[in-house]
Amino acid sequence: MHRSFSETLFLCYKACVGGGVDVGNAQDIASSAAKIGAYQFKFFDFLPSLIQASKEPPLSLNTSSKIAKFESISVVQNASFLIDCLQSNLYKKIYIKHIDSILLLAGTCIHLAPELKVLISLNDQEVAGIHQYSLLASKEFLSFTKADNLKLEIVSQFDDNLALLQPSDTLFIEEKIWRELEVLASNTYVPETEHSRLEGAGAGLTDND
Amino acid sequence: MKQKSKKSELCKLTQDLTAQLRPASEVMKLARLGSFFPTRLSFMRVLLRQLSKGGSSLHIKNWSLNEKGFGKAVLTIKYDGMPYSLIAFTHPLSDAKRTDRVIAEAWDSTYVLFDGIPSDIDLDRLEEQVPRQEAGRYSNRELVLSRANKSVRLFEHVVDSLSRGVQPERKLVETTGYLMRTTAVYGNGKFGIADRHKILNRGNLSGPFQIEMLAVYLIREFTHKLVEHIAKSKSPKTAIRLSSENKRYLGIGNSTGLGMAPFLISHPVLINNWILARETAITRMREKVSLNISEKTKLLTLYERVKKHLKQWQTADMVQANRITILRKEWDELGPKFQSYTDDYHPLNKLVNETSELSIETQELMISLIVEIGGDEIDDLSHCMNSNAEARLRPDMSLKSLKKIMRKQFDWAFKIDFSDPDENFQFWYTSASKLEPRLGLRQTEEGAEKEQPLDIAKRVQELENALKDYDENEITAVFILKHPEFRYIVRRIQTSLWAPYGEIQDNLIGKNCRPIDMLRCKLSFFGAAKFDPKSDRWTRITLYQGAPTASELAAPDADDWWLPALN
Repeated sequence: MHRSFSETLFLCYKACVGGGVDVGNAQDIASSAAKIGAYQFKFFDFLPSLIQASKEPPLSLNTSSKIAKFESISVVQNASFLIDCLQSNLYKKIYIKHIDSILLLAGTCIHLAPELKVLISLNDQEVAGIHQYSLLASKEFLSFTKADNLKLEIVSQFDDNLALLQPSDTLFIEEKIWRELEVLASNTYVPETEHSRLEGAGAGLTDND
Repeated sequence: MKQKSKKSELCKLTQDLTAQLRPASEVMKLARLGSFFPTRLSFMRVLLRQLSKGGSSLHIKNWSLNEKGFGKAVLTIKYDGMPYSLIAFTHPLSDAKRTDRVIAEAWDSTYVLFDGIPSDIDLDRLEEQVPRQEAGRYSNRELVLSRANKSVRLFEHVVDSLSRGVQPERKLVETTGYLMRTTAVYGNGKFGIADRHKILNRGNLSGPFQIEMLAVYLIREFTHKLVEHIAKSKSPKTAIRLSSENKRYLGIGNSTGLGMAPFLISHPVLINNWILARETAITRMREKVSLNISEKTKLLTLYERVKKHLKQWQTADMVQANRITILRKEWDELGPKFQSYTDDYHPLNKLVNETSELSIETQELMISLIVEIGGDEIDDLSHCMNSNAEARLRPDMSLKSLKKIMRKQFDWAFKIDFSDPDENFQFWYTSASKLEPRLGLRQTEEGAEKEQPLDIAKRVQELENALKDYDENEITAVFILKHPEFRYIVRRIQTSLWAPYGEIQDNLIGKNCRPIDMLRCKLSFFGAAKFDPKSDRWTRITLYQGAPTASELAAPDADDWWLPALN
């Protein structure tokens, strides 16, 4: 079904918070999801499970080198942090053995690091470049879901094989997926009581002036 | 391109003035925000100036209402050469079902603002959906969704009077001020309607809430035509039209509750830009060296008009009624100052200074009045009220710098003692019932664990506590990794460095917090007046009261409707 960016952003934010993601990170993941979803609607099919998978402990940090290596990354929990590291020059290259959504990682780059030129490679093949809110990618990039042997780095230019992709100006999300996100979001809503119905909003139940 | 660079230059100048503006510590207090009045930078004023300049005219494309006024209608207006259509549906509604709350499921009238002119297929589709409001589904051809309920005390009286060939009773028109009141005006992608980015390249319509204000303006036009239609159907031989004076005075009511408050917290950059533009306008007017003859006349005329407006401002709310009483008295006492200062140097600054020991409401009324004297000097500031930038996290910032900003910009937050139960008294939440925003009492109600993040001051204190264990030379990214729960508040603190008016500097979860202050602030930016609180978290207001009707937009005085009064 057609969904606006605004309602998608709002629901993704609520779903993240309802799924246990911290508010600030939920804001970033929701924006990132809407941004990458504009390139690949199918991405949303995986979002509810990505949110629910984000229960791992935080990454451990070793800042003695400008190159970081991580075994397994939950993108909802850690993607924002990875981009923080690139932005703050904490790391110049990040190697990840396994990540549960390469698309959401790209979306996070679009959202959080527009001023950087971030290159994503898989098995040393350049698959996507992000700069100034634009996504350049290989033909198959948008069909990727989880990925192994990923490299994230700041570069000065992208490979010629990467083509500029055009995002859609609207979003389509399956009804079933939307419902799953709503279920997660519902964890943020407080069940109604008679007292809250009468007093919580500060207005009466009828108004005839 | 030229227009764009001129705009950015203007906004840059605004930033340069920051040092001379009233500080955020003075402006961003709830008590002051809750005393704001509309100004000529308010969004309704901006919209009508543009409609007026553009020579917009209104056309009725469809009028399919029965003798009782039930059915559908389409009103189309051209703005910057493009047509926009208000599609209205009116329905019978029992008094028992008439509520302005979000939890309502039926209304006297429902509306959608359509991008262009709707086809019959569009109308059929929307007739199925629009009366259902939040439960309906919309396309990106729809720009705004809204609904309105009748003012029972006035609507029937106006119809009855007109049908008998007389104008409605002046007293009743004066005390109500509207035929219908909107209970929600949804824009920006809600329920599938067009996202805001669809109109971002539409010149003047891209300003904040311009499209929503256009919808409300057309609803007002519709209500005027609706009462005339029903009156004529009731008594074709004797019915007359509503007088121009009554049409001008009858705006659109609006009922607003807590839903509006979180917006001010969740859009710190946008709010900063609104306040910054307003404060810049104030500073420019205070710096004005002298007034010409026409400005002197305008100043004295406005002083008298405000007096009348204050007399006509009625509310049953005791708090606001007392404030109005003080306001009237103080305004009366200021009269001689208006006479004596008009020929002085810096007359507007002197008038503002005269209010420094008076009530905050009188201070803000004077502020709005001096802004009204401006025209070309300040009207372009409306272009700076949008927000293209989002709050940004600076992961490379040292914790030392972060602490420094926090102590400078959020010193107010450290003055609150959260061990006092009264300072930790309430929590903001979203009800599972139609997602209505509500406030709960922390000690006695369930749901505090699902609190919305409006507890800014408390989060600032918690952050400072957590930072104690960290080396000040460490960077924000490292801290956030270990404490992701602070990402939200760190971003706000860092953003406050370049958006100093983005934070309300009060405890929003304290017992003394009056949410209505937030509502009034936002509504004043819309251009609302005659605040009529129904509680400390709910208010009625009037929009477009005194505004020119569509047929009067070309009149030379079309922009002269700040704080109107019925003669």
